[in-house]
Amino acid sequence: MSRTDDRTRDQAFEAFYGRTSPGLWGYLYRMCGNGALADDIVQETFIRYLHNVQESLPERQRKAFIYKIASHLLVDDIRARRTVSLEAVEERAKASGPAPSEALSPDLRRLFESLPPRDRSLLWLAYIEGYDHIEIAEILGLKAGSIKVILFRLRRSFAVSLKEIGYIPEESS
Amino acid sequence: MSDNACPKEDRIREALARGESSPEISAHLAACPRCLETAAVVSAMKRIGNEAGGRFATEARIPDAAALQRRARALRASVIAGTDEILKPLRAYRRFVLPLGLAAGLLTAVLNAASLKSLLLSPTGLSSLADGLRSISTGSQGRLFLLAAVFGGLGLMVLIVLSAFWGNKPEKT
Repeated sequence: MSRTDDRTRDQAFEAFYGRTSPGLWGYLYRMCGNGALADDIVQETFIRYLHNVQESLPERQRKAFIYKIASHLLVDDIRARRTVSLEAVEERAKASGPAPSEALSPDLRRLFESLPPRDRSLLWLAYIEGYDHIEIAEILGLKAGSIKVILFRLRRSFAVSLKEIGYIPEESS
Repeated sequence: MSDNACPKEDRIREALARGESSPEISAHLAACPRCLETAAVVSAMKRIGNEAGGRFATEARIPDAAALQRRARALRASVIAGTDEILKPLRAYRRFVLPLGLAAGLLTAVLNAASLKSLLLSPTGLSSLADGLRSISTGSQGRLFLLAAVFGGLGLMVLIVLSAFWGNKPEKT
């Protein structure tokens, strides 16, 4: 492997890291409500990615791989620490206060944080990252066939809740 | 589920989540309440994602890409060094013990050339081979021969295991 190849690879990783890390950190932060834990998992995720990555894969697949590693690390952490209760998430959210920009309405934040971690992950991957059912199943280690049904029900219940907090006008459905 | 489902819902969701828009999507949203609801969920989730993105800018404490690459390289180097340490005895075995065993076997064969020749060339040679080996094993040279055979055989097995292990080891990037 020549120095030029190494430099090209380093630059490619730097660009990929720059594009991927903010979204990944946000995903982790919204899943665990803990910025420091999100920092740790982002670092560990990218180190594992560098250890195992197949650079020939398209960026979309590599990004899905990143989310898969991060989701597994998060689940492992939750199992190990058992500290990510809803109350803890809400406490941390109150302590950290609103973000300087794009402040989120408390109702919307509370609604999202009241969902079980798996549902939060599903909504994030489907409605923010735009992954299809097969990709989501691969990332979360679920059966692809069940994702469509779960997501359909989740979308409906989430939409009903959005109407209740006034985010969606009642007449829009 | 099929009562209220729209066949285009997944495509619409994925497109909106990726920030794509087109006259076709707009026209469909105007006519399909299900997909309009999906669009509202995408919008709410995007707000949640943007808020987390705002937090990333101010709260995330993650290293830059170069630091992560250095850590990944250091980790890889330590893994390689650890593997090297584990394989050191096996490598020594392959380098010294196997050739010594083979040499001892060869020496024994040369020293017993006459006996071996008569054994193999006699009319009942093959049928009395077992008797011959039994008689050889009782002498001091016979013990040397058996020792050489054992070491040679073990060395061969180690070589087979090592080549299988390294042959199946995926290439790390």
